[in-house]
Order: sequence, then C-alpha cells, then structure tokens
Amino acid sequence: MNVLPQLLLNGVILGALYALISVGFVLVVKGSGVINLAQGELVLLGGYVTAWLLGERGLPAVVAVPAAMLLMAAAGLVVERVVVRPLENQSMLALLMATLALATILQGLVPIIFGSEPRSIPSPFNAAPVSVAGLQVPRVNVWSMGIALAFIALVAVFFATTRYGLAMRAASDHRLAAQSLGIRIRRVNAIAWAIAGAAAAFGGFAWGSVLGVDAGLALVGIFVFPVVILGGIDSLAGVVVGGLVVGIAESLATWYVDPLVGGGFGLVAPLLLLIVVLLVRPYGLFGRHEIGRV
Amino acid sequence: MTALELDHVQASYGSLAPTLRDVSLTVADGEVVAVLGPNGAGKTTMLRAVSGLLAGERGRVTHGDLRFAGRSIRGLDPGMIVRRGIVQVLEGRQVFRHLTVEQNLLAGGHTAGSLRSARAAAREMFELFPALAALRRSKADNLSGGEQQLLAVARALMARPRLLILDEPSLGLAPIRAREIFALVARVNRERGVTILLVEQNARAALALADRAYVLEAGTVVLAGTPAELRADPRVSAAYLGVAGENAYREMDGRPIGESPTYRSPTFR
Ligand SMILES: Nc1ncnc2c1ncn2[C@@H]1O[C@H](COP(=O)(O)OP(=O)(O)OP(=O)(O)O)[C@@H](O)[C@H]1O
Ligand SMILES: [Mg+2]
Repeated sequence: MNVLPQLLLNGVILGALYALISVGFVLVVKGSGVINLAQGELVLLGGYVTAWLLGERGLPAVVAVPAAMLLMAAAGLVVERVVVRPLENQSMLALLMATLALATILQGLVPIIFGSEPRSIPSPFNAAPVSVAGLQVPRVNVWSMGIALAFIALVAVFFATTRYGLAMRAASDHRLAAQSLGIRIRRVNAIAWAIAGAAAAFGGFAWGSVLGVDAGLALVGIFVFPVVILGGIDSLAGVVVGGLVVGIAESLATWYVDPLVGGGFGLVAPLLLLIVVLLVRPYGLFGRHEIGRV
Repeated sequence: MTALELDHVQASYGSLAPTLRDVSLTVADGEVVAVLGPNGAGKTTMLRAVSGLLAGERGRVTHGDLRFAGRSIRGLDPGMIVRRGIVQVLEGRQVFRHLTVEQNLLAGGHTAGSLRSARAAAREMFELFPALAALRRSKADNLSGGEQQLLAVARALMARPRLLILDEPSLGLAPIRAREIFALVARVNRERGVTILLVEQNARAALALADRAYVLEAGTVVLAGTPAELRADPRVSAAYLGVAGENAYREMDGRPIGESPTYRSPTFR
C-alpha cells in the first residue's frame, strides 16, 4: 500500500493547525511589533481551559470550544493590558523579554491552577474514522482542520472588509501615520492579542484531543517560527503555506526517518528546515527584506 | 476666534535638554499660518507636540499649555486630538505603502465611525482629486512623490480636520509639483474653510500663501509677523529668501537671528 497520500493528508491537517496558531503570532507581530515567545504557553492554557470546560464542567463541545475561545480572547486582552501596554514605546528587546517572562509564568501557573496530572479532552466525535478519498482519518482531525482553516478565512475577511481590519493593516504598515489619523494603536494591539488568544484556545483543543493536555503542549509554540520564516509575516496566505510545509515535513520525516534514527526526528525536521531556509534565504521564502518593528 | 494656541511650550526627548525651549504661537480660525526655520530648529517637534505624537518618540511636553478651540489638548492621546479636529500630514508624506490609494483614504476616514461613511468621504475625495481617482487601485508605494503628497493631504482631509497641519509638504518635490501642493493647500483653506498650520523650508512659497508667519530657531520663536513684515526684514531675506545673500546676513553682526540679543519682532509680544 502506498502510504504517501495518507502522510500528505496527515501533514496537511497538522499544517492547518500550525497555521492557525501562527496567525495569532503574526497578528501580534504586525500589530504591536512584539515577538510573542509565549504563544505555545497560550496554547497550553487554552488546552487546559478546554479540557476543564469539556471534562469537569461537562459542557457539550459546541458550547465548550467557543467558550474556551472567548475566555482565551479575554486572556489575550489581559496580556496586552498587563504585559505589553506598560512597555509601549520601549525597545523590542524589552518586549521580547516580557513575553519570555510571561511564558515562564504561565508554565508555572497553569499546573498550580489546573493540577499537574495530564488531562485528556473527551472527544466530542464518535470514534469511527472518516474516509476521505479512500483514506481513513480520525473524525476529530478533519473537524480540527476545517475549523482552523475557517478561522483563518474569517480573519482574512475581517482584514478585507471591516473598519478595524483596515486600521490594523494601516497601523502595521506605518504606526505613526496611523496614529496621526486617529487610529488607536492600543485598540489595534488589543484586537490582535484577542485573536491570538482565541487561536491558541482552538489549537489547545485540537492538539489536546490528540496528544492529551500536559505541559508538553506548550512545545507546539516552537513550530510557529519555521512556519513564519517559511511563509513570511505579510500575508495570511503565506502563513497557511508555511503551516502546510511544516506539517507535511513533520509527517514525512516521522514516517520515513524516525525508524532509522530511533524516533523524534519528525519534530526536528521543521526546525532543520528552518535552519536551512535561513542559511539560503535569510529573509524567509516569501518575506520582504524588512522584519523589524512595524 | 483663536483656533490653536501654544502657550510657552517646552518639550524634550528622553532626558535630553529641551528641544523646544519656549514656543508661543497662535493660529486664528480660518487663517493660514506658516512656520519657517532652519534644520533642527524644532519645527517637527512642535507639530508633534500639537498632535500628541511625542510619546511615541519618547518625548514629552514639559512646560506650558496647548489649547485648541479654548480647551487644553496637552497630554491627550493622538486619537483624541484627531477627534477634536486637528489632523497632521507628517513630514515625508508617510503614506501606507503596502495599501492601495483607496485603502489609504479609507484608513484616513477611520474616525468617521464606519467604513460606509468613510467610503462616502472617499468618493468625495476622488471627485476633488481626479488624479487620485485614476490611481485608486495602485499601491501607494508605486506613486510618484507628488502623487504621494497629494494622497497624504487627501488622506488627512478624510478625517474632516478643522485645523490641518502640514510638515514640509514640498520636501523633495520638483518645483512644479510643489506649486501644485501649495495651490491645493490654498484651495483647502478657501473652499473648505480649513485652518492651516504649515511648516516649510520653501519660505518664498510659504509667505506667499500665509496670512501670518513665525520663525523658529533653536527651539524658540524669534520672529513673527505678516508676510510683508517678514519679507521686509533683512535677516529673513538673507537667511530664508536668499535675497542679497551673505552680505545682508553679515551686516547684522553675523549671528543667526535667534542669537542676536537685541532682536525681537515688533509684532511678537
Ligand atoms: N525622536 C527624537 N529623539 C531625539 N531627538 C530628536 C528626535 N527628533 C528630533 N530630535 C532632535 O530635536 C531637534 C529638532 O528636531 P526637529 O525634527 O523638530 O527639527 P526640524 O525643525 O523639524 O528640522 P528639519 O527642518 O530638518 O525637519 C534636533 O536636534 C533633533 O536631532
Ligand atoms: Mg522637520
């Protein structure tokens, strides 16, 4: 049997989820010029919140997942208010350090709040896999991919058709000019962080469903970097492409290389890819020659 | 009625010595007021102080007050100041390079409250500036300098200013394009009743346009008056109009105007 189609499909599903959390990251970079090192920790928090709502509270998934996204959007707003805003007009390095501190704090705080045993997210779907073009895929994965892509599409629509979407694009293009026209940078930042929080909640749910929820969930945050370097920060389409490349690379490497090296290579492959791309094209595959404070 | 009033304003960046040392200035409703001054005099800093844009540069107003329509605007955030009716066209145009001409205008209409009303205002701008209408789907980055300046002015008008501030709008433009911009500013003042505060290096053009003018040097106002008064002043003609060149300048003891201890404009205090 030819496994390649199955591997590619798995990679695409994984890639959609990488793209989703990367969108949150990219919005924050573009909106407030902050490299958010805590995106993975937000996913971790989102996973626990979802597990709590679904498991302990016993809410149905159609309520629990949107509720988790709302709660995490609120958490994003809190982060903007408490961590980012006090440092506005400070150097990029100061902000970088602040998000690193946030990551560490969340890593410590989450087990204190939710306990340190791993949780499982009860699957809202029946266990029978779906068959996609003759390939068997767990139902939860298909849904995850669908919702992730829908979320990204929604963000794209927000940018293209709303007043604040346009304001965010203007602010990321030229902060001072946007301010001179009455666009409130703080509000723009707050929206970016809220979207990042909601995306992290959904990422936490989707990964938590497959991997279980424990401290290791935060590691998915690392994959934001290869996604963003590959896809650039200029367009959502670029982020989706970057996500898919990383997802497929991971899926292929896991199948073909892991048996040779005794496992674990799947997770290393995207980072290797990142290093190779950086060596060949220091600005990323699609990036403009300016990644700086926007 | 006084529109804008700066009352002994002092401002500095970070912990540096004050860049604006003591600036007092008024702009009456409906007036065109020009501010002249050499590089580094603090003209842009003064305009940033008015628009609340110093904080982003780690600067602040340390003394004095700024009032618009009788109410203090000192310490307000830039969004609030725009909503009060003061909109600034920044030095160097600063269009949104990756957005189209139309999107630039719509972003300028942010304070209109809805994208629908911004669209209506943009249609009005396209009628006012047919040159921009032809470029509406072009990326602003691909426009010429003159077109970008036109866009920057139109974008600012989208916010329906009562006071329009322009920081060196002729900078880097060919003389004919610069003339077009000055004609546009005059038209905006006349036809739309917008009050204008204009900073310019091109003193001749600015004085031709203005009802009154100030000269700023080293962070202080050293001279103020009508264009006729300023043109008649030998130091202005020497330093800013290039008339009689160096000689007139040297006759006045060779120091820049601001350092001349005896000099005070008759109309300034
Ligand atoms: N962001 C800043 N941080 C620190 N110092 C600044 C900043 N911007 C301007 N300055 C300093 O303040 C002084 C006045 O600068 P400003 O830009 O206001 O002058 P200007 O009159 O507009 O000059 P120009 O004609 O060259 O535009 C200069 O000495 C400049 O170096
Ligand atoms: Mg200047």
